Amino acid sequence: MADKKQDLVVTLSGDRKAHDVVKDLKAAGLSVKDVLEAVGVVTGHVTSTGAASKIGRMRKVHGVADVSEEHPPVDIGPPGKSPS
Amino acid sequence: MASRPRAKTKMRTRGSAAPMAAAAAPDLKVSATADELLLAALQSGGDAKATGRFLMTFKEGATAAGVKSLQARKGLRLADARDFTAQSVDLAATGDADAVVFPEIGVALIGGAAAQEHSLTAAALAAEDGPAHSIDPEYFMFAADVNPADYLRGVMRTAEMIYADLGDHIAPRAEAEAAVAGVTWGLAACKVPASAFNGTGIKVCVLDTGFDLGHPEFAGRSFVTNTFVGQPVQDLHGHGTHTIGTSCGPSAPPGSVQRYGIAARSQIFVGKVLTNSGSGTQAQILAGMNWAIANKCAVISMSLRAAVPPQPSYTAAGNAALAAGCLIIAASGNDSARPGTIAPAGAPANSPSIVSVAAVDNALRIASFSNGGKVDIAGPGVNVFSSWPRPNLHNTISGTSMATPHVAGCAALWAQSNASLRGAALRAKLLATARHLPLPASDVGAGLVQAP
Repeated sequence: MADKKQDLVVTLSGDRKAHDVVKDLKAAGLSVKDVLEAVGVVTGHVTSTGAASKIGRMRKVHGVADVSEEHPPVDIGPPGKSPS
Repeated sequence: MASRPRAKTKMRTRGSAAPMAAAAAPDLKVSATADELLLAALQSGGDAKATGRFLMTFKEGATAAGVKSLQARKGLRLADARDFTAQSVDLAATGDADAVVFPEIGVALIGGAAAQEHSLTAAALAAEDGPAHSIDPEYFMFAADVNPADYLRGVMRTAEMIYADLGDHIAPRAEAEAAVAGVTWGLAACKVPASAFNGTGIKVCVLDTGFDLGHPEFAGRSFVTNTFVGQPVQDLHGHGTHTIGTSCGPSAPPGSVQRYGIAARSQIFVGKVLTNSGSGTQAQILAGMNWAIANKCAVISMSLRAAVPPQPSYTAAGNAALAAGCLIIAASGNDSARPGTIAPAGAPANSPSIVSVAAVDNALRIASFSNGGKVDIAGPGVNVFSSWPRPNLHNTISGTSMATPHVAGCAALWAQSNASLRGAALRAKLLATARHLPLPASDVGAGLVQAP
């Protein structure tokens, strides 16, 4: 069975170059999707196997402020009814 | 201090603008003690929480003009905090003054009878658009050692009373505004038609389901587009076309179509972060925010929400935006079922660095679905007419999604009005100029957004 992916959002602290932080994140097990320099965020995923320890390593990387699982997809909310 | 002696003039009511003051207790001077006020309130019927006096708040920088306008009211005896040593006002020493001005905080305390006599009501002040920002009943403040349940009941009753006091005035006024020919009720309520600005030179980014790039009412407009969801920017949903219509639509649509757009000459950045079925992932949304900030869009509008607590990534994005001279404005969400259930604002609006928008209806009541808690400002969000993909061209829908582009559009006008209004300064301006509403700040924040 293929290993499941866990999507992650890594928020940078801004006190180290994104490029250098990304290198360490990759070494900790992150498959990088996007490096969003203007907002200071890196998105990507880890495989579910050993995810907790990978995330633990990522949190210790210098220049990382936060590592969170991606929240469920957003939507545009319930009302939006079209009485016209 | 304008303290002229005068003969007591007859009580009079001017037009329909008096019922609020008429509900006040007997002639309560500003010198009355709390006990006297409480006694009068109890005598006037049960468990009133209002003291019978009123608090007038002056607009920012308009305190001097406000004092002048009060002094100009014939027979209104005014005391000024500056006449007391170190501005330490002893209300009991104000004698027979009808009002006391506290210039440092831009507020005047006005006796009930004087407020009635001089027609100092919310409706009258809104109509004259003078230096006064608002007038609200003064409420008794009690020490916190009361039963929390009683306290909460009191808070709820207070909110109901403010609503009952002011509802009569606000409803007809809003309806009158909606009757202005050729403009949606929302644009009228935000005073867009009277604005001298149209968003020229301002980049507005709308992160949504894309846009109908062939919509005839946007012919000749320039678009910068990008997609983050693997689908073409062309909007097959409708939501994005509607929100861009409100924030950036034309000032004079053809034929008999009423005006629905605010920043009609802004440069439109269309970031598709939601698919044609209306959903998107956090990574896609962050990528869209990143693009908008990298392009230095002064205003970034996000009519979307996830029902999750504040996310560090969105907070960081909001801070990055402010540092880059951009302002992110987001919908608080539509998860409430008022009055029973008030859901908390969702992400990204719940981040402190992002402006959270609630929705009100055309009587300026909070929309039943509008989320609460971390709310910064409100916009028109019930039965909002705007653009829709061809062949329909228009649609009327509701949501905090519709309130958000009203705030974004007005923000673009403010940004055009003064090049220094960017980022945090733009946010401060939006909040400072919002029209005060008689509703809790946790529902509507600073109030209803207003165009410059």
